[in-house]
Amino acid sequence: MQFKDRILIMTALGLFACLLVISVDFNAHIFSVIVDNKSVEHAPTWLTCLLTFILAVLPFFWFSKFSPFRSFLSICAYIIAVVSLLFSVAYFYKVWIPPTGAILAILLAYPLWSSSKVNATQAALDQALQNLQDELARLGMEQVAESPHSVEDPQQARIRKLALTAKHLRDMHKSRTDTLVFISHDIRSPLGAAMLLLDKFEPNKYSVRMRQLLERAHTMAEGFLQASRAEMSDVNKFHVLDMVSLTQQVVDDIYELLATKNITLEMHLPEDNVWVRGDFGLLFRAVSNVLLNAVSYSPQGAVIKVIIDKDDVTMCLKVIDQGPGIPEDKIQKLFKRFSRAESEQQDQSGCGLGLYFVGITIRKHRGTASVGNVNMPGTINIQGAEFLITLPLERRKNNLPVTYDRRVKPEPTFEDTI
Amino acid sequence: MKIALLDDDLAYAEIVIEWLEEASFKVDHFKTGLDFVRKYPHEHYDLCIFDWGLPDMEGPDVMVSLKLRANKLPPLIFLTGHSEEQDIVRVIDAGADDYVVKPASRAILLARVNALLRRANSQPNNDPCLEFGSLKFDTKLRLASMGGEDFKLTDKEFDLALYFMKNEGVLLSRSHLMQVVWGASPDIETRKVDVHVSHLRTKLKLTPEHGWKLTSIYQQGYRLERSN
Repeated sequence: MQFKDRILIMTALGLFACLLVISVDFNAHIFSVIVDNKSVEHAPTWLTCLLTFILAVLPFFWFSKFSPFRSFLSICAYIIAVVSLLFSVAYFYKVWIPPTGAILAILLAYPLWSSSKVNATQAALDQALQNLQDELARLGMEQVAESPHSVEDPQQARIRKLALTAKHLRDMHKSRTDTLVFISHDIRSPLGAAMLLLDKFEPNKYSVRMRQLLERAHTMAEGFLQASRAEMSDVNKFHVLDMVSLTQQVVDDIYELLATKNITLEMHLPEDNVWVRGDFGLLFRAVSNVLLNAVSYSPQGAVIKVIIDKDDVTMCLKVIDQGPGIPEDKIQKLFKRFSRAESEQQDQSGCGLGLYFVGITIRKHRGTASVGNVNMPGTINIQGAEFLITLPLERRKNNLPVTYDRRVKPEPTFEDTI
Repeated sequence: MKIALLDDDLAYAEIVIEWLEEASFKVDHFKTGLDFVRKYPHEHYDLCIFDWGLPDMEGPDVMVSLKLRANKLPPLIFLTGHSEEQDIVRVIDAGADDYVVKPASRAILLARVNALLRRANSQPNNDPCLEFGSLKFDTKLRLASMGGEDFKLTDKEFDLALYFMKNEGVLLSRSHLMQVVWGASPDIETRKVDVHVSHLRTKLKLTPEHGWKLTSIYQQGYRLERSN
């Protein structure tokens, strides 16, 4: 805790005590006025005891539900309520029940209760932290013990230990991703070279099979690499880009594939540019993956609709195909790792990382990616699948990368990665 | 035509040499930067292909040491293992003319090589009427047309279109386009290039259906190619 904060809290407590004294004084005055009024009688002892007990016990019913600060506020409010209640009873019913017992009990209960709660929490956290450290030690990754600061209370030491462990975990996470990128990248190159060499042979059934295997391995290495890149991408390096041009370019890129499957694209793109802030490479691949997915699940001669719409704050890209649609139980899992909407007749060339990549990329861009089935009008027969990507529009005028974007929420520290 | 290939990855270099020789280029292969820098003053090369990472130095360092010895360098293509934006930016910043991501296909490598050689050896053409595929450009009247139909292009769009056509297949960096077409410093508003390029794509129908492919390379540069 900072020195400044301590001073602040001490001052606040002091002021609170003063207020209490003043109000006690004030209450005593009212009290004497009420009691001097001969018509007010003291309540029988049993009633006072019973009420005091009930009033003292009541706060425990909501204590455990509130945060410490809220509990504190509620206790203050409760004391005021109890005093007002007892005074009102004295005023209206001419029966005086002394509030001192109840108030003292409540005032004592709060620190007792909160200290026991803090102790329990602390013990549990210490235990969890110790377990984590033991686990890391068992994996042979002991932390370097730092020399403690000279002025450090146990609380600060605890926080420092926690921060250190968190950093350690973050480092491990980063090194795991780095290793994965390194392996994927270095496996990719020889695979690519092997595929080029394979072109030297006269195609026969073995070389064709071998090419398929190599391509699958290559796609998988590429998929891992891209997903890791998407996760590591730095939002502060994003640039302003036009989603319409980007989508057109994706379509140009798959033109030949569309021609071989005789698939028609129905494009509904706005005439103006649609600016968003993002990473061109990642968004290009994300849109490409969604379109390729639509193509691979579309029958020969099908039509795929590509629609870009926008309102004041967001743009959305819809890709609607005429494929078999997605089984209901697969919809939720589709953007997860290694998932495919498997169905009998579809080619299984994908490695299941394509849409996972889309999910990560769009999340990084503060957008949403979702999928659903399109039904035939008026029936429950599935007509195809619809992929929907939304992204926030860029409203700044310049094209410089932002140095610090307040709208970007901090990344969750230990997001599960591949 | 003679090409210098500087690459220590023998498996890949062998394939590349074969492709280039099949396309009737002569190829000198070097495994280290130093070998190449020693040999370079005594030979004439029409084009160089450098691997980015070499055992003794990095590709861009080789280029810098060449620049110290000669005023004019032949067109230069970098081979990179990565295809990320930062890698492409590095290539452009280093002053290379183009890049090829390893392992590239035969078609892509030869397309890049041919595009650069075509630009390097192009003769000034004073004919005001130029034809690129089915597109016709009249530089005197500043008109672009296809099949007798005129396109309504603004001045800058016309300049940009003509520049793209004249440099078919070549990587044109955004800052280069800003300088050539707008005569402007590349730091000022760069959305301008994107907007003009997207207009051109729509107006001149630069799509694969019409035999063209206009690619933005991470918005750092553009390339106009013929599509098969």
